[in-house]
Amino acid sequence: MSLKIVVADDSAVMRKIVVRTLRQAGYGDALIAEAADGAELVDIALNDGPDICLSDWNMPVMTGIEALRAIRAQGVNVPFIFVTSESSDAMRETAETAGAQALIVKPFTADAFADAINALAV
Amino acid sequence: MSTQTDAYVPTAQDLTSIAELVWSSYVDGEIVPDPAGEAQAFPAVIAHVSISGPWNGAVLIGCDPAASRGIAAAMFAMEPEEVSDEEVGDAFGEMANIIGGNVKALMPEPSALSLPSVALDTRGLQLPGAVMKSRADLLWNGAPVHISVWEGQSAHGGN
Repeated sequence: MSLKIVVADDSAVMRKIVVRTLRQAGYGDALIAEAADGAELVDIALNDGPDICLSDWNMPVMTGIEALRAIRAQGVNVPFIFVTSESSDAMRETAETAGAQALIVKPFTADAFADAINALAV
Repeated sequence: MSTQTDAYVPTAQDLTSIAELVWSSYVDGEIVPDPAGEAQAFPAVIAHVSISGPWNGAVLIGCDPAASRGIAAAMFAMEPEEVSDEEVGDAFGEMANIIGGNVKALMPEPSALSLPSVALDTRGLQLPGAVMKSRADLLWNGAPVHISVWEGQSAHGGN
């Protein structure tokens, strides 16, 4: 069965690049949903049952970390990977504490996606 | 705690290295240092992000309209004539976000990165009181691309 992956980023071009990179990483048959901010991500995560959330950190309306906390607060444990241009130790710790499984830094490679998703064992 | 004056400010070489990494990932064609860069007029299309924390300032990327359209087209995997102004703004803003995020990693923590601001039709940068601390003058497909780091609270013009 195809993986259901939601890609959240306020930049349309970055959503397109992430989807393109997922194909290069071997997930060309995944069913992809897109969210333009954290609120849309929460809606999809709670209602559509994705297998994986890939989310930017810094987004309008609701940030990625706020979205993750909102999803976890509803008892939904969907694997969550940040895809962000920022990568400080403090952010990684914040992400891990909130329940994220990984953080991929922009610019990224297809291998970074393959490694992070394979480690989830979904 | 670091202050504005003792914080490490990324050099032109740092900015060039970041640009090379970003270009190799998302944009066709090499980006290389421009030996005539200082003589080039300041670019017309500008995107910038602000960094706030122990060090306050902004990271700016700029180029001419044709180059910005070419960069957007490469990122969207489209032809330049197919790219809308909205898509140019989106792509150029994301470029500023990625470069700014990588610059932020070199700055003292904890710092926050703003969302990007993009101006598609300007001949100058309005950051009164902010001081440009470093600038990389680059060439992509023969077109100048400038990346610069500005220091000062007034560099926080972004959203």
